[in-house]
Amino acid sequence: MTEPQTESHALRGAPDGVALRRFREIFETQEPLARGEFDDVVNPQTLALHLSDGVGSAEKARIDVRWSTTDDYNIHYTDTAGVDLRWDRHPHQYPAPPADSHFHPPPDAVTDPTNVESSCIDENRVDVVARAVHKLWRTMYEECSFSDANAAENPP
Amino acid sequence: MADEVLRDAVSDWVEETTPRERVHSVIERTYDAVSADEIAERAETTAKTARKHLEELSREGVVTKTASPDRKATLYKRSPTSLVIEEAARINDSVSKPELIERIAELEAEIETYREQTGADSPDDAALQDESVDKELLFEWRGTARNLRFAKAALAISQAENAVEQPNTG
Repeated sequence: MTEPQTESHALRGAPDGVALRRFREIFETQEPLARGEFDDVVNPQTLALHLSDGVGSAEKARIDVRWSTTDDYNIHYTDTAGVDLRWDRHPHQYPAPPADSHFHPPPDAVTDPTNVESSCIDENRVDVVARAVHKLWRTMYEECSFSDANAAENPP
Repeated sequence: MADEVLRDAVSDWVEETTPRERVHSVIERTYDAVSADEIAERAETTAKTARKHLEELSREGVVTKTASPDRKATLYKRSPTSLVIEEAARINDSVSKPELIERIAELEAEIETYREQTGADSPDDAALQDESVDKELLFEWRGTARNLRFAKAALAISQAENAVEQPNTG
């Protein structure tokens, strides 16, 4: 492993196929631009939500979801304009935030420990998180901007 | 605004689903037994409603009931049998039998690679013997091991189904 331990995004437990299928079902129902696909039917570890348009100038985007049996997760937005961001929940060694939930901001989902933020999705129920992620994606898409990607950092 | 996103997500969930659907969604991934109160809280319903649906789901075989250690409360979790059968049925619906046999061999080879890489028999052993072991690798290994067991159950069920359907052959 080349990454230092402080930058690990590893989840506890094992990949949870039931959770990933639930996430896909919710996201596809809510989002006409989305099509979900598993990396492997027999050994599903990652759900890729393909979006036929991206935020702003991006022509396409993808949200990769990993979800564990203990309700840890990585939710990674990436697009053809090269923007990355991630809403995560798992134990970490960043100086902040104290919670397991945290946010790696755009444009490159920075892992610089001092730039990791509190996540506005401080929640581990898949039914709620999938709906919250869809709302955040829709806000970014309609505003053509990432400024509300982590609503936690933008108090009214 | 942070609270708003989550609050809206919760209220959408409650509007779009029935209490029974929410209790089912929560319990289907509850692997460690918990009380009806805890299920109710996660499913955004009352303890009384949660208990009613948990009892129904228990009669249907989806839920397993146990007594709490002090025997004062009933605890509920997803029935492991029902999860294995559901996963096996899903696998048999999506891949052919020859393909499944091939995939089982591939997953077994993958696990052998994890063992060679770490010098450990299982993800737990690997974590115990080396604290700096790649945690991503352990996560993938645990997933492959779990899904391999579902795949083997799928194959066993499909073979047993063949035996039932063609009792005079094989």
